[in-house]
Amino acid sequence: MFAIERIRIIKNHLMKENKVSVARLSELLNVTEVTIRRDLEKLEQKGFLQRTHGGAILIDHYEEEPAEELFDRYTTQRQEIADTAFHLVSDNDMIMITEGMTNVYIAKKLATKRNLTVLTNDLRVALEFSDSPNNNVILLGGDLHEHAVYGQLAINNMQFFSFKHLFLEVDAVNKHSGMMVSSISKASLIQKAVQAAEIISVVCLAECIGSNSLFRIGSIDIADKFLTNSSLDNTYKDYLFDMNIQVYTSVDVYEQ
Amino acid sequence: MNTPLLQLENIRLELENFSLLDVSLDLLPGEVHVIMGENRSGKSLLMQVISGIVPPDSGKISLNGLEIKSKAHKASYGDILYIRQDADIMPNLTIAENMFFNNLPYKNNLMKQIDYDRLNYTCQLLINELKLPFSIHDKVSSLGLAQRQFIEFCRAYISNARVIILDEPFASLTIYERQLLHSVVRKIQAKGTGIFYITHRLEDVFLLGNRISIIRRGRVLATKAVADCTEEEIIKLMSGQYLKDRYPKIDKQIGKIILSIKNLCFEDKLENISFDLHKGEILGITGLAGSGRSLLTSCLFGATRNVKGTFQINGVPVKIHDPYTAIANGIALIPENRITDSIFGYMNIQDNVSVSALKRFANSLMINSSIMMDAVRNYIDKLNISLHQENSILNYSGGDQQKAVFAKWMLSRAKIFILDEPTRGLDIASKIDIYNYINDLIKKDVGILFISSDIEEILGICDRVAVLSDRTFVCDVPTKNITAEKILELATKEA
Repeated sequence: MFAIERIRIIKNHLMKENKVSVARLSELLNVTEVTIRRDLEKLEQKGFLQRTHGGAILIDHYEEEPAEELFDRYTTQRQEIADTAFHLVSDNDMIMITEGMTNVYIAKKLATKRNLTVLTNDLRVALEFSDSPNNNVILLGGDLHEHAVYGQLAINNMQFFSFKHLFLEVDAVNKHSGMMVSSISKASLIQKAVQAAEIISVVCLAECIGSNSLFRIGSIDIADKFLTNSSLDNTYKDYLFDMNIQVYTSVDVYEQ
Repeated sequence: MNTPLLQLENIRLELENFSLLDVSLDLLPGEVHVIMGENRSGKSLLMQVISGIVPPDSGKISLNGLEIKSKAHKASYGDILYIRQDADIMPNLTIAENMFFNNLPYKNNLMKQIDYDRLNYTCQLLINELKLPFSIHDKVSSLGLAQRQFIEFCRAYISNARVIILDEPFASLTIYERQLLHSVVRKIQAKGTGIFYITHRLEDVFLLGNRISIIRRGRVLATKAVADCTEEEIIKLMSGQYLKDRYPKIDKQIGKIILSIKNLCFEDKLENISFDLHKGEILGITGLAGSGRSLLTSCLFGATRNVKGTFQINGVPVKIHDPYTAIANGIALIPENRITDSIFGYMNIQDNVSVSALKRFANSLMINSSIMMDAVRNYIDKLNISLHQENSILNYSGGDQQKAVFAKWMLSRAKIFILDEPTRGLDIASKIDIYNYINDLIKKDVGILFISSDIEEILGICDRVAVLSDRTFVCDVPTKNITAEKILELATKEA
């Protein structure tokens, strides 16, 4: 049986019963116990369950995910992008992560690195690093807007920093207008951040490519890397490659 | 000189998902007319119309001022010769027979008895004249793709065709082989034959072309004299292709050694090749065509007999006698020649994907086909293969075919991927997809041997590069410590 399918079944079973036994699952799914243990291990890494002798129990707080995640249709896509980002950052790097839901996933992934210095204006990003004492987090100051800070204060703050890698999440990208976000304060902070970065990685869900938003950051060619999903439209792959941009479509299909 | 040899007027052809719209083109005698455009822009379809494989819906094609009616098009086959990307060679015939296939000399015209002495003699003369890098006695089956392309070119050279279509002939060749072929093209041109030349390479345009036409989405955007345009202009018209290296490379900590080869030898063609491949590593192998790149892949995959040397997988010595053992040991090969060696043309895309992974879905003697098809659909979806209502995989684009081949081996969970020119002749979008598949594989600790003649690509995505020259590896270094010039120099240093 197919691993993804199997994991889905195990999850559902666990949600219903709160605990499972390896023997029962192996019988249910008609695969060896070794396979089941491997699946449980994967789920344990994701923080979904805790393995016990001969089985596993559901971790209660798993359901207490941030409310928006429950309504987020793009969880998988964001995780795929975060996986790619993980492989673009090395220990000891100095990076900046801008506000954005996908960037929160990236932060979650990067929290397992060592000795990063992370600059951010997003409170959620900062919180993701709170449990990882190996990394330093610097939170910009400024006017709070939902989960992130903006405004003149934040922009003034930016002048103190210079970093290697900027993860820049945008709300829309198209060939005509370049990269766009939904507020003017966001656009101006990002414009400032772009000047301070050595490598610029644009993070954007494939669904948002080709769409429109109101405030323009700049043309796409300021990007060095483009992090998106495998459903990216073919014409954009050509377009970005032609502009010397590395296109990461975050394929995640091979089953180890 | 100014009457066109071939003239197309307002050719229209509408297919289900693509159409040629009012294409008008002409070809003068002795002219090289370059056709450029992105993949799926309709270049190949247009050439099929010209060569009479596909009749147009409307429009006029005339050869030497005489209109060719589509029904009678067959009669003009001799006048129009179409040479495609994948060389059409009959492997069980000799080189001479292959070259002269369309005009064999007969001892007796009535009995059709072939005059082999004359055949071999004329063939040898031709080889000498064009200074081709093989001898008349070589077996066709032992030739690399580049050499097969030489044979195709010779066919064009000796034919009486007045119009020759070359469809991306140089996609996989190195500079030196290209120069040789350029000289053949010039000789063909000197006979007054008109050549339609499809290419992706800008340098070829300026080297060989007289005029250039740019095609996009089934329309001719512009036809210009090559002398009148600049590189930038062409790039702009085509929405810019082939700029600098921009390959989506990821950082990955490499793991333990997964494949270790010591002193691999094969006949007099490969000698003392040793290397280690780590988990999560991409080892690039490059070299001139004919240097044994492809031969090495078949040795590693057990597709050639009598290979000497020791193989270790994960530290355990293994013997690989045949592809079956190779697959059982987790080795996957994606060969250079997709059409003949890696897809099953009579099957649909789903069956092509599942064919190496049937064991995964077998339950005693039955295949659980619903789960299997579910998995296959998931792969097709995630790998961005554009599925359409066609039965045979042959009706898909080259990019989608190659993606299906990747899907096949990914589904079978191979641990070592040997990729022989995996992006040759593909459009940019498919190339990018394939680089990202490779990223997915190395993230999950697969070891990859990446064979390519595109040095830029090797430098862009590999961790290490080995250069194959004079039957063995002349270097094996991290890609960051070597330049393209150095690689070329090493590859051509051969005694």
